[in-house]
Amino acid sequence: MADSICARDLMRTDFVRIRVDQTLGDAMAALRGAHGEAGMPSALMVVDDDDQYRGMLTARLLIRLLVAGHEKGRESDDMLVLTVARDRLTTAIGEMLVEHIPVVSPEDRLMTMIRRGAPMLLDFLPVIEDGRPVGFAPITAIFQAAAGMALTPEDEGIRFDR
Amino acid sequence: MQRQPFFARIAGILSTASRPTLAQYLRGSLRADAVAGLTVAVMGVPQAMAYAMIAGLDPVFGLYTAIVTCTVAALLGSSNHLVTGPTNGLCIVLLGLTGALAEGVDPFEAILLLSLMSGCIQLAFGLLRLGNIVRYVANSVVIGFTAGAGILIATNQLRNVLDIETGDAKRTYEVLFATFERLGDTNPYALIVGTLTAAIVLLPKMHKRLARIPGALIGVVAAGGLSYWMGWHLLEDGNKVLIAKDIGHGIVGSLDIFHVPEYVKNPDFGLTQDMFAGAFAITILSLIEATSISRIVARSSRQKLDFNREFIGQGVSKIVGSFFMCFAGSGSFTRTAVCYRSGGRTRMAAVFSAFWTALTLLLFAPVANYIPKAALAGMIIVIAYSMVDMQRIKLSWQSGSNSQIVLLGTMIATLVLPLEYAIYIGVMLSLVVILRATGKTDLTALVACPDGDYDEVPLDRAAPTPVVTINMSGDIYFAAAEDLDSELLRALSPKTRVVVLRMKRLRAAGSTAMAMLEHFWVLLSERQIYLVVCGVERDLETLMTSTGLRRKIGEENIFYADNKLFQSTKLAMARATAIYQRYERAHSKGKSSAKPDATQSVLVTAKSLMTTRFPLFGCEHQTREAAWLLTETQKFKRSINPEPLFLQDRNGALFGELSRWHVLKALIEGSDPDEDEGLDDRQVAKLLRRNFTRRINHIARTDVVHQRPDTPITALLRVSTDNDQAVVPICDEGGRLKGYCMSHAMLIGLQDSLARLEAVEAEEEAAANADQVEASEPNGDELGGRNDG
Repeated sequence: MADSICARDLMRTDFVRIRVDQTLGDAMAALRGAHGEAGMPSALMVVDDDDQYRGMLTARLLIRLLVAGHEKGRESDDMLVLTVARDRLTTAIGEMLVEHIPVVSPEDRLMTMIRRGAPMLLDFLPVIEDGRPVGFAPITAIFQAAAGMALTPEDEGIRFDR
Repeated sequence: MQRQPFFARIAGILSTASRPTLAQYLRGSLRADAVAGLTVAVMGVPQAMAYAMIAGLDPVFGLYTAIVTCTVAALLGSSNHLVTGPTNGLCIVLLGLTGALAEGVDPFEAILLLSLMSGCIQLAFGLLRLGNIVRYVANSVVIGFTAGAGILIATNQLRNVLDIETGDAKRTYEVLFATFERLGDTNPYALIVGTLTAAIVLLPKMHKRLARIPGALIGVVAAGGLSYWMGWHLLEDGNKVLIAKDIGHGIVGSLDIFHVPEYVKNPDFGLTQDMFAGAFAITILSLIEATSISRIVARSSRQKLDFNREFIGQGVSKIVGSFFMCFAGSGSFTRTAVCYRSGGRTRMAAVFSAFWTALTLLLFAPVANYIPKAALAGMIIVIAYSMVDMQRIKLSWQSGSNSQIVLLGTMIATLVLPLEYAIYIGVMLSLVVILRATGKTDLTALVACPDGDYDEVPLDRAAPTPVVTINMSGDIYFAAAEDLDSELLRALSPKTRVVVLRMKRLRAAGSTAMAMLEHFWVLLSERQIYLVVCGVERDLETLMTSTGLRRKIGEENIFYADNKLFQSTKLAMARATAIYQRYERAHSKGKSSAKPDATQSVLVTAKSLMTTRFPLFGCEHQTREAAWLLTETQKFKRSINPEPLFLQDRNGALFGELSRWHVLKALIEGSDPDEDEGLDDRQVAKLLRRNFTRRINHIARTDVVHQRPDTPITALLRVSTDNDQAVVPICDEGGRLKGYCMSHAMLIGLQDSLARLEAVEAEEEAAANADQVEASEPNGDELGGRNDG
């Protein structure tokens, strides 16, 4: 049991903190700046003054906060979408952060991570310890771990000839 | 030429590893071959006796066939491991053929004649080098026929297990009806013997550990021992268990079996003529069995087979066998497999099996005479059951409609028609399927990619363009050329101005094909569409010249194939583009370019944001394959950016998106979350593997909305939020994936567009300020007036 893969084994710690009273514009700038060495989009951990976890922002979640709300299905004016997004950039993150993001603890095991993450299909799962963010587990790492366990040597070199 | 020493040549024939001397063979392979031969004989003796019963003959004739036919075929054939002898499929065909004989014809002599005739036909096939002919018989024929034969055999042997007399009933359904009508006459002792044997024969099939047990031999000996010990073979009629001694002349421990067939001594040409169809069917079936079995073994042993030599070996073995009271035999799958797995190294292993069988006959004939008929029947029923191989039937069924037609057609024909016709129907269906597959020319559209490569897409999925490139492949003989011109026309749209026909992969072009092409050229000319052809090979060039088509199309519009891939296609497309541009210039009326509005200059488009390298996958794979591919694509990446897998349908259009979460969700589906805590890694792996075989088209997201490359960022953002898509696929008009935009790219696009908007607004503000300044300043006249003043 002790050898089982848990969130601590898969998480990355190179995340960026952003305070809950900062704006969505700050978040956008931070996300763009947070493209790490490998050019990956990272997650922003939203924390309060006591470094307590309040939420997570990823590019996908931020787009939702900036753009969502226009009349669905209607061909709304392109400029309107842009100006609404621009107006929202000055809004504090705390005012918009309403989504419930599933979190895991460093000791949570692989199956727990899969079950928590699957409903929302998030690219990253925040890893929280004592209410503070300690990292995030990317879906790529979770998937590699799960597939690595499930696939056997016989599955190597599967032929795609159908 | 220097000749090899005699022993070296003999050893070369005998050995799989081309051993140079006989002495080395004796030291290295003799023991292995002798042991393998003994193993085959232990299994083969009861099998040979039982198969003779399937053919309606005395069991001893099966032993003769296993001795003589096996030896001759082994020495003269090509395979080093094939064990020839009685086979269940051939035996049921023999039973069917002798059942339909005219009054007064001796069935045994007729069987010898059939063997002789079939051997002669096979020998002729071999000498005429027609060894590859069996390649044209589909595997589904063998599967369908074997399954049908298994049902027939089991039905026929049921009466022997129950020891019920079925009178004159010959056809299978008659035997079945008669058996059920007289169920009350069942001999309980025969039933016990048959059931016991069947149970013991089944044992090795029940578990891997029991696989090496010679179930057939133990079953027959145990049942025979029981019957003898209980004295059931001595009971009165009705309760007496019939034994081998009671069938015909019993088993005689002698090899004085040379016998010139009656119909050789006194030829009956009428009978020979009547039996030709049957003999030919036996030939076909025998060749299919022998070649397919030897091919399977050769794959493992890496022996290169000469099918012509195999035909000769099989043919001579039947001819020789017919003079030694042997019926037609062929390669036995079970005995061949046992021979190979038991370590048989050369063809001498099969010869040894014949030797051990002969020794058994000579030494144990008195004992073998006490083998109950019901025991052999019980064994046959188990063998018949295994002939209905559900796994292979399922595999064949899943291979597509062609396989289904051949499989079902052969199986039904086997059950309802005389068996020789069933084989013909199977072969005929195979040929029809081949003709169906080859009797058409495949047409696809070639679409040039920006990187200089080409995409091949179905004609109806290609976007309408002024230059249409059609790739013709496959056969274009007379059957395939029919209606091809109208099919080509359907690929055109009102936009089409030039058609490029790529003919590089065309085969069997003849005068019909040339006439079709000429007609197509006429139809295009009527529509003022130009024709350019490329990939023209030498023989096609000759044909086009002789039919005058080359002159009509024009030499400048023909591009000949060379050894550089797509070279002539590229030249043809350049020519087509030049033709189109010339056409456009002639017809253009001068289009004014519209000034782009301010919105267009502000909004970033998908083209500048999309990732153009993406994994594309067919939609009918298993989840296991997708999992493997996703892990492989991630292995060498530093990025944790979760690229999805895009699925395309058979037409090359986007089918859906498969993210890692989709796969994981599918893998844990049906499992109980409460049990997670107690699972160790091995159990987690097992749990995840449970749903590995699910098709990915059932788990992928198929309602994903795609956009075109010129879509503005705002539309991408709306699609992303409205449909909750982390990724927006970018496709062309035909729905084929060209790239995709991920969330972070869209966020960057939004930021850039906002920056551009700022700049435009600043520019407009500056312009407005300048206007205001200008309006507040005095004009030139005023200044002039003042100056003048």
